[in-house]
Amino acid sequence: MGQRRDAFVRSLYALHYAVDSGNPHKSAEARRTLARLRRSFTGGRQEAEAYDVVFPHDPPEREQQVWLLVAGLFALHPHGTARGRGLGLAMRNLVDKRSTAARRFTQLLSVDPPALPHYLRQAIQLLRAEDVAVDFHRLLADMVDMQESAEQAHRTRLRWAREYHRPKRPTAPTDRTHTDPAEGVAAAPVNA
Amino acid sequence: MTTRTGEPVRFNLTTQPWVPVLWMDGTHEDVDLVTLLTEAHEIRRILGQSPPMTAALHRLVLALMHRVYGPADDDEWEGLWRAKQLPRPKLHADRFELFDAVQPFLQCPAVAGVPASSAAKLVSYRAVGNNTTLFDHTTAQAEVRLTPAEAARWLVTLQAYDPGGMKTPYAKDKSSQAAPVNGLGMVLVEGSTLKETLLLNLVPYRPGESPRTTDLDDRPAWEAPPPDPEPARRHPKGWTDLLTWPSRRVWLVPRRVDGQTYVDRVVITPGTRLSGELEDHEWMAAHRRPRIREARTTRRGTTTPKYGPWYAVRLQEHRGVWRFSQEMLLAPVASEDRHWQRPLALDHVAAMVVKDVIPRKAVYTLRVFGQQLDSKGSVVQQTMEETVAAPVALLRSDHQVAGVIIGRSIELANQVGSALNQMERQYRAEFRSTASVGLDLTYWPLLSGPFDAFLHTLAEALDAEISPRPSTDGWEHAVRRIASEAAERWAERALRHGRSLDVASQCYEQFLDQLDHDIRPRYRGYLARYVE
Repeated sequence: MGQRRDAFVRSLYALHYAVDSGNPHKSAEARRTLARLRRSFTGGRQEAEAYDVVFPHDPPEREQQVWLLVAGLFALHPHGTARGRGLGLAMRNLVDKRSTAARRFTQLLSVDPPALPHYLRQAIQLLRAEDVAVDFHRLLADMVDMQESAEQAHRTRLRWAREYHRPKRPTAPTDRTHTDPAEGVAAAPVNA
Repeated sequence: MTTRTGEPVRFNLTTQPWVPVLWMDGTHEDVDLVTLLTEAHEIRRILGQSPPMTAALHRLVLALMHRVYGPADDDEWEGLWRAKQLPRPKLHADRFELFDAVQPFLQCPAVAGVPASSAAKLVSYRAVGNNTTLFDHTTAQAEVRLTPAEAARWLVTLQAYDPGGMKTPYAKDKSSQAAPVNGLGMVLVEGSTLKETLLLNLVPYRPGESPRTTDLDDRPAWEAPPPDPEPARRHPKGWTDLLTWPSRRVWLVPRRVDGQTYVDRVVITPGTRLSGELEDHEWMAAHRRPRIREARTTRRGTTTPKYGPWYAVRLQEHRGVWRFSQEMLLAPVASEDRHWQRPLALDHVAAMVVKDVIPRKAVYTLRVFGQQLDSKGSVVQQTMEETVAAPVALLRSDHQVAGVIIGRSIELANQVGSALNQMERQYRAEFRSTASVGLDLTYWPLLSGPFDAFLHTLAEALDAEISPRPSTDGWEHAVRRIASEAAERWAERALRHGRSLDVASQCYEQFLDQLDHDIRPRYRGYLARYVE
């Protein structure tokens, strides 16, 4: 399952690299695909535009909607990989550049999963405006988690909120020693 | 109806079973005082109906043993320790009659004229008078029949643990002081059999010399003449006097029903108040005095730190008595001003380890008993019993670093605990909401297990003279894990979303940051000098 998701997100990143590849044919093709994905947000018949991109990767049935959503979000803000940069951290960086976005983040934490796509679209557009990257692997995994159960949705929101508020430590922390077996547990919180 | 003045009703505590014990094979039974001592090697422990009863019965038995066996010095003690069983005690059996008209056990015949009330007054969990309890609905009118054995157990418990407040007066004076053992967490060093347990707590007893402040005229209550019915106040004459302190004037009224003897009425009036400091007389507790001003370095040299008055270490709800391990286990550091005193029995155990009477690898348990009264000291709020591991290796006073390490390790838990509370306070301030309980409950109680493990490994390391670093690391990680899980659960509470979740996460992350970048490095920094 994780492998299929990975392959799918990698194919999205591949679209971005194709646009910048310098190969005019490949570039134009990728642009067209991204445009189709963006159009899929208008819903109805247009949604089918995204099927060509998503279904070859064989999404599990209950994850289909989430895959389609992530494909559309990527098309709004295509960029290269940004491993480990979850939505919380991305929003933090955004707010550092544009403080009015803080309320957007609080909204993201408030809405129920059915309303979330709308707010995510706005958030991603803001991230594009300030050129802040986000890890789409993580985003897809988070979105799948959130539709599991109310508790999972809650834990995911908590994770975003914690990333958002994690104090910045520019210099290497002094107490992280190599002989510290529990440190790995400490660095990755219990819900990871 | 036959009362004490008519046909004689007898119940002798040295021949009739009344002390509840748990045998080594797991069966429960009541035994008499002589059997209790001579069979102590076959008995696991004394087990009362409540922690105060267990504690009070131990105190009584220890007082009895001091009068029977002494032991006058360490050699006599060693003789008892090495013997298979305790010798048969010679007792003045007539002083142990529960219903004697002239010298009743732990009672005062002179108050017999006071109108008696229901025997329920003797039983601490019964709701009578102003003793409000949640579940019991006994009223003063209801008849409560206690067997003589039950009455004897509750009588001993009452003398040690009765709460203060207004009592039926003998003449005029109604007010009473809470019985002395209420003020402390009573520490019992527990071995594998009752014989071991009793001996471990039996310090050398030589009136006039040992324990300190025990005078030549020290005696337990049953050797004294019946007390004056008027309330009094005095200093204890010594250790056995305090162990059997007559804090109430009691008179049990027995009745024969169908050939069986019951106690259904009882007189309880104020008794003797304790003068003097507990710290000077009570040896089954740890005492401490808080530092009220830090030592300062001045131009003329260093001023000594100032300390507040002495307090006995008590049990606290949720907090765990292990936090006072330093005060309970360790010998005070000689070079410093004495500001804690462990239970005297541990000084003696440590001496016996040095003399190779007790093996160095032995690990005993400290069982601590407590009863918490309300703010007025007149209603029992709860009774408690807790244990702490007591590795013998830590008791020796030549491990100077043990004190520093244990002290800092407890301080670590305290600091993390207050950081947790700070996290919650900060969140509440943001929303002006009321305090919630629960954060304490997911932190403090979970630490006692890891702390015991920490003490064990620390003792082993110190004994083997290797670095205690793995031991302190283990403790640090346990505190980190338990605290972050508690914080995680707190932040995850089901109702949080939107701004609540936002603020909670912020407080949570700040807590983790403080934990990992301030509190833990500081702990390691302090210990670096001692553990490498």
